[in-house]
Amino acid sequence: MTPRSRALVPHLLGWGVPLGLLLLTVGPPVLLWGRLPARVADHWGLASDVPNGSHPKTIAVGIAAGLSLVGVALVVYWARRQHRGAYPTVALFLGLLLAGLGAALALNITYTNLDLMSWHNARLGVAQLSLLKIGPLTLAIAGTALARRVGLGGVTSSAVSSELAPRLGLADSERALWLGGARSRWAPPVAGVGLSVGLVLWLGLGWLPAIGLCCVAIAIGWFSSVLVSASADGVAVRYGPLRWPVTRIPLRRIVRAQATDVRTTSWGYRGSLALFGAAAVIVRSGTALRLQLMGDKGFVVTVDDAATGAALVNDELARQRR
Amino acid sequence: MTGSKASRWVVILIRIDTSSAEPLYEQIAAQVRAAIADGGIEPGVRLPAAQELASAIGVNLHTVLRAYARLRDAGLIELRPRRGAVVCDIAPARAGLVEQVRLLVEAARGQGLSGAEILELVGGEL
Repeated sequence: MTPRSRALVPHLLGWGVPLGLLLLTVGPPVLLWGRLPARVADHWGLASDVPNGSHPKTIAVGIAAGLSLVGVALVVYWARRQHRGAYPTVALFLGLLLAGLGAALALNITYTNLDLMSWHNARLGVAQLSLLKIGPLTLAIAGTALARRVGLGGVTSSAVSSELAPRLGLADSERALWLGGARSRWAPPVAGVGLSVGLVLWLGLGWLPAIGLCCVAIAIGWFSSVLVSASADGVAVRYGPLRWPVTRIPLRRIVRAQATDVRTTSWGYRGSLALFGAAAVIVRSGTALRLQLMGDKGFVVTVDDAATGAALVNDELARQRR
Repeated sequence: MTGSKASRWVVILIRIDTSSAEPLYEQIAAQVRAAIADGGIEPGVRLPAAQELASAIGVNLHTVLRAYARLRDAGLIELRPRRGAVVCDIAPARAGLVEQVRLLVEAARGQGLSGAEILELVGGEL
């Protein structure tokens, strides 16, 4: 990929694709409004091309447009933030998925109901079925992969300004446990919206696309909070309301601890990636605990009062080395 | 402590001194109480499991259970089966009061008053 085409990718993904999808969602049904029946077929069974659900055309097109608008909003949000550094791919992925679903739904509704007297006669061919079931997911995966390929999803270590953590000065007779938490402000509402859209999809399109969206929404909600503890045993990070799963880093693996300041726009939302062994758990901007690990590795987790946690870890490290 | 954009919901440092004359369970209870009073722990937050806390600070499980029982008796936490120790809704307001009572009793003891005399003193104010 040439530098010129690489530079075009943010504009293409951030503006071109969402605007195109929005036009595809609204354009055909509006232009052909008079040729659509008052009630249109908008739901087909998995094993049959015969429709099993319908809505008045205003509502059917409105649902498709709503999906697209939410998706476009997510992609535009991603586009506005990416220039400040690497950005999470979750918003881009969800945005493309939703906008793609809206466009596919609107196109299918228009194509299959065109010039029909009754929605019962609308037939869904293999091409339309593929467009609806596979198209949005393919678009989301391809768009996200493209963004990552041109370096819009990486982690920039220069974005972290670190400061040395103070020591607690624990006496030999003292023992301590530090507990700190961090919550994302935007993830729970986004998860709520995702679940709501998932339920709407369930009614409109069937369980297959809905269940994927619901799973993503639950994962976002689950990993929107962390509870971090530090003690003589090391550091443990617990996720979500049930404090599971748990990432444990034993003291023997830690070289040094620091309090740092991170921005989500620089690091991305990486709570869910903790499952895959990523080195950063960022649920919000602000203070974070940064651990320098053996083997030139690092681990960062956003948490309130990270300075105290880092100080305790450093004290325990010093005690261990004595 | 550094600032944060998000609201603080759990921030606590439990630091005990095994050489102190103050019982370990009282040290634990006092620090949890102080954290609740200054807003370090929000109502509804689950405290660390007794076994986990005991292991982390190297004390007996019963020491932590006794500390939690003391906090429960003061109306600051609820001990629920399977959910563990959960901070009560009224705990932030109550914790300050409990701390003031503790300081009052400490000051009275420092002046040589007996338990009955302290009760009489408080009763007089009622």
